[in-house]
Amino acid sequence: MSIKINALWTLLILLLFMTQCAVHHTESQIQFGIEAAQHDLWDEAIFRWEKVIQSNPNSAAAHNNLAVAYERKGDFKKAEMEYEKALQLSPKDEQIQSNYQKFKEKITAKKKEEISDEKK
Amino acid sequence: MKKNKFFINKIFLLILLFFVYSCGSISYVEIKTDIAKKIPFSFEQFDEIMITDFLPENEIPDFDINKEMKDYFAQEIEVKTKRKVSTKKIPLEDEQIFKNKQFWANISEKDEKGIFITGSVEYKKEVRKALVRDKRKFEDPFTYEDQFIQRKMFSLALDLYFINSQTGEIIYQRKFNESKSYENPNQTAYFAFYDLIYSMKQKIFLDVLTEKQPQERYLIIK
Repeated sequence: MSIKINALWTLLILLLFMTQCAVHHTESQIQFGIEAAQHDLWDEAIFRWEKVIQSNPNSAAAHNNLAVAYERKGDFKKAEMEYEKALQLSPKDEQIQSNYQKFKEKITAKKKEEISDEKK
Repeated sequence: MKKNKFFINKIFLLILLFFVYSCGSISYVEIKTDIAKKIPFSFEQFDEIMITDFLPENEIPDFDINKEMKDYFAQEIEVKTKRKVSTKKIPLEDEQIFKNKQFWANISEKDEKGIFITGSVEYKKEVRKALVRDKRKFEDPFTYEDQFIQRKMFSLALDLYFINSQTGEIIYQRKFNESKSYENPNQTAYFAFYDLIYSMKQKIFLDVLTEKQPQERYLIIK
């Protein structure tokens, strides 16, 4: 009986380890993209994160990071699409919510400033 | 023997918990980067930058607001863009003229791609009086009493237009408002104007010339 329990434990740990390996590959691509972004190599970062999405379309992290990259490059339509996708996949993620909030504020702040100046 | 087995099972449980924790946690990095700002156009697209007359909506004695606006913008835009800026005398009748494409397209003699900078401007001054409760500064700084104060208030309102000289189309239009009050009753219209136009210029250039703004974003690792 105790041998069976130990075998089950070992199997469980092996399964978890294999999952971690698969996740690790995605994470390494995301991590590579982040390092590229930190060195201001945003095109390389976009390439890495798009690659992640090709193999794992449900990666909220990759969608969020792509949104930041598109925002940086001035492609606001693509940025908004990626933010919304990231929020769909991970609606409770505070970092994604914060990024999207700042993105929206930036767009609406300009409009509010224009309206306020017109009202004066 | 039983104790050893129990101990080994505990180790397995700890390793399992470690894997579950590492699967469940989300980590991120905060990055500060220059985020692109949506600018309406680029001065690089145009061969010629021309400052035309501004339509004054009121008059202040001994102060030519139109001349001051033209000179100020010509100098500031030349410095900021490092491009040659010319001034052009164009009589403006009313506000509707800014939306008249034919009028602006016919003005430009050359075939070059140019941009007109123009608009309507209102510069007002007034004296504001109020009764306020303030400290008796010289007699007793700990006692408050009603005091009559007077301030000279200047306000500058600008409806700014950037117009394509070839098509006559408005490529940028926005209203700006600045006002400031001065304790000095002898404050001159000239001094106050340069105070106000400086603040206004910061906003205008932020809108039409600044391409990027530093902002913080989170990049998520997993």
